[in-house]
Amino acid sequence: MKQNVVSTNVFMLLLFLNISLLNGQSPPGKPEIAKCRSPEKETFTCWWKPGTDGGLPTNYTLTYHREGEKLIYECPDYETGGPNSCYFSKKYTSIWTIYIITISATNKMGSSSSKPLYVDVAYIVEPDPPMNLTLEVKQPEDRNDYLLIKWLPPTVVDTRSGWLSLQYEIRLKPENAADWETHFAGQQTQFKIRSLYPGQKYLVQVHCKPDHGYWSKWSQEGSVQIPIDFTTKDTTVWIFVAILSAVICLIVVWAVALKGYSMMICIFPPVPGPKIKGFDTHLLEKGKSEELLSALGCQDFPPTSDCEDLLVEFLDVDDSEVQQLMPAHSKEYPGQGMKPTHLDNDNDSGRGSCDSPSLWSEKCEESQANPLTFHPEIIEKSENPETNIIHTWDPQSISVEGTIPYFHRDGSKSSTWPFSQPGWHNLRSSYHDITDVCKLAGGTADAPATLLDEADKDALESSNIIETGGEEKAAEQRKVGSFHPKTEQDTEWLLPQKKTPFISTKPFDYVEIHKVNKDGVLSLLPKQKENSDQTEKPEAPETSKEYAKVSRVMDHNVLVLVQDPRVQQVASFEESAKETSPSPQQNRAEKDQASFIATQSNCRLQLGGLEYLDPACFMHSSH
Amino acid sequence: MSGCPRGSTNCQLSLTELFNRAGLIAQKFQTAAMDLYNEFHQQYSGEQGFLSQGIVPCHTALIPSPVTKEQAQSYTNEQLLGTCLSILRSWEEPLSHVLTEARKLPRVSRVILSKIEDVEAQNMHLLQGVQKIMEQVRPGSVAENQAYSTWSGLQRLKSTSQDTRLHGFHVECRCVRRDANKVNNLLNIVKCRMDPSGGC
Repeated sequence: MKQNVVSTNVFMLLLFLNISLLNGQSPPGKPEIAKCRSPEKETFTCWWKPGTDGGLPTNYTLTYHREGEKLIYECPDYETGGPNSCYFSKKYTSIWTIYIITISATNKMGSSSSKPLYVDVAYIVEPDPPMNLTLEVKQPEDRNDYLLIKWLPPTVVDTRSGWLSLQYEIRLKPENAADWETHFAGQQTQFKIRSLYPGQKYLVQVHCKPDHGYWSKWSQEGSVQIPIDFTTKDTTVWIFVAILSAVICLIVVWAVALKGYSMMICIFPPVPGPKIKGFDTHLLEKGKSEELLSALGCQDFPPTSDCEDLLVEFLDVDDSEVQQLMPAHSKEYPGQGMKPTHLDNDNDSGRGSCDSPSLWSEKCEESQANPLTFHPEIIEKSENPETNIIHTWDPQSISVEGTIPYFHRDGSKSSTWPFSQPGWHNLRSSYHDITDVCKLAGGTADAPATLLDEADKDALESSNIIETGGEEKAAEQRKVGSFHPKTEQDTEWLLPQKKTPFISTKPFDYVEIHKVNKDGVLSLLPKQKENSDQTEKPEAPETSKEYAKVSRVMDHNVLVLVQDPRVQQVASFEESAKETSPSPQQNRAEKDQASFIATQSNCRLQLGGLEYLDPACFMHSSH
Repeated sequence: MSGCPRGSTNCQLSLTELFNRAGLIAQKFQTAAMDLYNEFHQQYSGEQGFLSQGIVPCHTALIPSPVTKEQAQSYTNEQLLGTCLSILRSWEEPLSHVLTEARKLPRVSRVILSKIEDVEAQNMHLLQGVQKIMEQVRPGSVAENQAYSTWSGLQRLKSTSQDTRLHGFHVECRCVRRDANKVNNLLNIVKCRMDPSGGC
């Protein structure tokens, strides 16, 4: 029957539509069902939002059907729920059943319907707020005072039979406070609050929610005045705590007084000052650089494995090729190495003297950092470490001088070497140089290095350690003689000259500068390696083979070489700036002679954008 | 919570204790099913889309159960517990299939899978608990074959059409959510009848 009513309505609407004239009126806009709620899971109400009414009186009709049923029904009660509502009484409510509800708006001009809403009453329960909120201050004798809050579930909800189970939440705040303090109370209908301010007036509210449903509105506020004598804690406990802590303090003070300093040491151990192994500050103060250097130089030589601050590996000195230049070197070193001021300069550019061309002749294998072992001779003369070095190098064909690999720093003179103490410069930097050269050879893609013209090796030998911006450099350069590129302050050189193998066991590859042509192109020779270990093909020194690529030229004509054959780097020369330049420099030593030691990437330090190698790393890696 | 001493074999928990535990598991079961429903519809399309395709009846719809409070109160304890047992047993097989097939859903999230596992586990635990309660309420009754519904939803879940498959999952999620809610409610009624002091 209901169905008939509905169809009749629709028919009438269509009739009106066809008959009436359009006079600025329109059919109603689409209504929308706002929400449906059930207060106790036994009845429910739906409310809708009307659309535009089109300027005409509009009727709203709610129709529904249930899942699995075909019959369509109309709302049984438009009144009880208020305007724009439909109330489903118990008779019309089934739980765990989906209702499909639609609302239609109708006026003379037409009608429109909402989208259907799917409702299962089990999930739309929103109860009324709890009732009968009572607040009571309890002050038992043997316990702390507390506030007891009690309430009752909303009347219509049947929790007694277990049909609906509710959870509660209370909130309270001092009368003039802004924020509420909320507490979850579970399913119980009472709650105890302990920590309250005496003399304050509190406001309390409670609300509830079914297991899966909506929170009710907050109940009416209840207020309670907390008495002045409301004790929040047991004061006797606190008195006891105070006395106990006082006693403990006294004991501590007494113990400190007795033990005094030793205890302080125990508790606060003194922080050790920085110490440089072998570095005697007194010597430094006195200004006796010789002693200082000797103290530094020959303490611990060769450096043992736990001398971590001795950056480099130990060089294996090969006796077979002793070469040169002692005297020349010795001249230089004192001049170069002994400047305490260098310590201050942050522009220590790897002065090192790999004066042995044998350095270059050694094959540097990648990422191998063999410990360099020093021969005893080196240790002997501790007076002049530099000289010693020179001496020892030479007989053992280690000419540190010749090789001065160091890193060019653009403008900012950051120290290439981790250690820039005076006196150690020579020694250490030589190690640096050796290893660094090797590194350069091996794989330090970014390590700038400059190579010197072999032709000037003799002169160069004498100028090992060059500091950027130092006069020595100029001196060095002069000694070098005609040298391309320009010998300016920042020019740094490597002096790879001798063919004598420098390090017997070290798989370094070195290059030596064969010549510099007029275009400023350096042609580099792979060094012959005479080490039996090496498997590289020996090269005739005359054969000019260019193998290193110059990655760029820094200021003042410093060439930055990139050598690792495995690393593809494009060379560019500043002066020549010739495209052809790089190509001749192509690294032909995919294989060998010219391969530099590839540094472990983790041995690289980045300073100011340039890469440096941390020799200490090699020590570690080599051990 | 009182319990059986460790290692005891014949210990019987009190009815109150059984109800307490069953009540907790039923709550977890209900929450897990609700979460699964929400998660599924969050990831795949919302419920409106599935529902508008037509509401497929749940396979447990044939199990006689109350739909109003008055009806529920007219059931006896055994009847209510029996209904619960039938419903729980009816879900054993479908849930395991839902889990298997869900793993093949496109981009199925770990959350959904774990929720299904959760629902399956709680369903099993609750079944065991309600069986224990039933044994105490009416000894020997569990031995009788409790009727339970067969399930025909597997076809949907294995369909080659993804739309049909997703719709199939929607149906199972919707139905298990409802049944979990129903079982929890019915158990609570029995509990409040037999032990009114326990928070009723």
